[in-house]
Amino acid sequence: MTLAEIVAEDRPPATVVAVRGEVDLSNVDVVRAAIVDAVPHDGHGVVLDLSATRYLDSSGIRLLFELAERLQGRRQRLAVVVTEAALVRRVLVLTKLDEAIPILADVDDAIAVLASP
Amino acid sequence: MQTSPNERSADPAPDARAPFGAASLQHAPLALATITRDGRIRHANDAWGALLDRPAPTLADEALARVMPKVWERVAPVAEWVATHGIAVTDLEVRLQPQATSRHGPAGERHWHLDVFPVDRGDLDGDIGLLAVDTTERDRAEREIRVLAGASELFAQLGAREELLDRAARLAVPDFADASILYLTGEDGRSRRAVVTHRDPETEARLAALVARASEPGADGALARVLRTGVPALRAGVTAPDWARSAADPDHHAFLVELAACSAVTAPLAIGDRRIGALTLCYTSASGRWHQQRDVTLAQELGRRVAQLLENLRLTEEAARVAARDRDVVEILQRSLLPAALPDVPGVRIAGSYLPASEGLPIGGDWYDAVSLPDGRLFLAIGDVVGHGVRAASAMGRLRTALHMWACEGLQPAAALARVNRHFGAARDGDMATLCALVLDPATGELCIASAGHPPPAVREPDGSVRFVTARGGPPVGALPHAVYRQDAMQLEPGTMLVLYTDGLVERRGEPIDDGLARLEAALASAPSHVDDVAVHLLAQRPADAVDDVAVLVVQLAARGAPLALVVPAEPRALASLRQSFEQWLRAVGVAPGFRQEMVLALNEAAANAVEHAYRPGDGRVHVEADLREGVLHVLVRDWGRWRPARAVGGGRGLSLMDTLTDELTVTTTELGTDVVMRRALTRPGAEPRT
Repeated sequence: MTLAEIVAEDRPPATVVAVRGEVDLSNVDVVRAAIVDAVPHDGHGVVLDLSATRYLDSSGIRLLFELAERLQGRRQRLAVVVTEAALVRRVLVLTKLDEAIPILADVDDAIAVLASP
Repeated sequence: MQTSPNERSADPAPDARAPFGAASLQHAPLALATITRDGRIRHANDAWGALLDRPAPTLADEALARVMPKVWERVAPVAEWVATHGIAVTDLEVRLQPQATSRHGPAGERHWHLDVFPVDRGDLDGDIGLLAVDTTERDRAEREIRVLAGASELFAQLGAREELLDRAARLAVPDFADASILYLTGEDGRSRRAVVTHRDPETEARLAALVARASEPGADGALARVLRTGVPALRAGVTAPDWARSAADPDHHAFLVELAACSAVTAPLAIGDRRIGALTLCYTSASGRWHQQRDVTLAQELGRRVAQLLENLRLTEEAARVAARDRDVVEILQRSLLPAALPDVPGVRIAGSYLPASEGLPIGGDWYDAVSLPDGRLFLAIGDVVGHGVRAASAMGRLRTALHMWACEGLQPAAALARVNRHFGAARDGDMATLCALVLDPATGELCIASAGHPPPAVREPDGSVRFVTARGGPPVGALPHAVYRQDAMQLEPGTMLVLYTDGLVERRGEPIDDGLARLEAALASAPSHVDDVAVHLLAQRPADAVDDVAVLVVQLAARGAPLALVVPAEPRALASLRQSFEQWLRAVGVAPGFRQEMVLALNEAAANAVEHAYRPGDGRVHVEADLREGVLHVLVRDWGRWRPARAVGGGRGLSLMDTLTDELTVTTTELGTDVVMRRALTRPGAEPRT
């Protein structure tokens, strides 16, 4: 039983990568690799859809920060989607990720944010 | 006084009224003689003369001591007494070696029985009469019977192979042989083993040592011929040059020299046409005796009996080997069919026990199963396939696997039973089973139960009272392929004990099942408090004449508010189940969802730190304790490693998270390890964390 499943979908100009399941110390490396594989070098960036992510711990948070940095190096952007009431959103807020990375409630909104200058 | 033939013919005509006359006894086939008290022969009849190979008249006045020393040896001690007391002494044994020899070797020893009786001469100085009967044949027949009976006795005593071989080899010794050798051939027909016995234990020991060294002890031609043709062989008058000629190699020669056989009979060990070895009887030069044709017949008969004995032994050993192998197979099969380990789910204690049927193979159609589902609930099952033995066990295996799979798919008990029933009935081999399937949520005590014709589970409430749970369901699986199954839902209080069992626990021939249920009820009421002991206690309550196999599964919900204590390996993979266990415990102690989530987050960070920093990979364990006391949640995460001074998981975010989510956070590091203690009050249910 894998802890998390990564599903990528091209929604030009962005790529939407959904993480379903849980992300913790045991699979953070695998998840990182899967996300990086899914993101092309062109395009505006990645929408990371965490609405089906049941759990995200501090190692997952660090992954998001790293991802944002890596994408920035390629002149791409990262946006995160979480539902309002989710625990994951609370974690993102607690760790002040929302100050560095846009957090939206909806995938379409997130794509729009990436597309805008 | 001698009687001559001339004088005899001049005797008066016999008078029937007269005392028994000497003339008629002269030619009697019994050996008769009269002697004086000091051992001189007075008269001897023709038969007596024949013993000495002399005409009877020539024996008169001869001293018995001179012509028949052995006879005189036996007679002398009693002669005086017989004459004095006038009472006969009978059945004295004498062994005589007739003087005659022939080209067939020394004639066999003769056995005589002597009667010594007083002869009345009309005066005080009585003579002594001797009557000698040749009992050689009779004695031989007795010995033959004894030896053959000895062989038959061995059949009844199938004991250790070595002991039997030794006794079989020894049967004819010393009655018909000085030494005896039992050869056993292997599958390829060549001699594989030889067991040698001798009437003298020391010689036997020497021979045994030599036989062990000889590579082919049975290599001599006679033995090979016997093995090949099945025709026995008699070799008499064997001498040293013959030994040298027969020897296959120096070791074999040494054996033959020690054996010093002068006569040998070899008969095959035959079962019908199959020859599995040979038996050789030897007389050695020490006794100088020779075998004769009649000894061959005896040896053949012995050979047949010993062969049968060995065949019986082989079959018995084979059967024992097969039985042992079957038992091993059965054990392995049984162990693989019952769950190797019951799931370790916090908030629940589980214990299972299986007792095989007391008759027949230790394997049967009863089983239990417990599966931990991804959402933290527990799937439980108990079942009983109709029938016994390997067939029932294999049907049980199929059924168990199918049910286990459907359970893992998250099906409710009734739906799982319906699927399994269709699958099982479709096989159309008439197998049927009763089954009870349940899903228990340890956190809430919610229980769903469906029964397919199975005895009702028993429940012991926290207050000690016992009741049975009759649940809806359907017919036994396999009976009606399209049967519809229903289920019931109920709530169990924390601390409740649930007992699932098969009918072997409550059924007894000739007794209504209610009696068995009442017995179970009483037994459960008086059972110990820990699940591990309960199963044993219940099984012990079975009547002594119970024969069916029994499976028992005991499940107990933790009492409300019991503290949590867990030990998990310090591995990243263990974190997910730790989170789940902690969350279940939090639900069980009645903590609100928001609070739960945050505490799980905090705990995970502490544990992840221990995993990442405290040990080298795979090295240690992390100990977690949690307790709710007076509205404050206390959590302890302890490891025995050394936290490297590196930053915590997540770049320091972990520690910061923990701090934010709790009222109090203390990290204490010593040489022995690190303790992380967190406290948070429940006073703010679903609280927003402090910022």
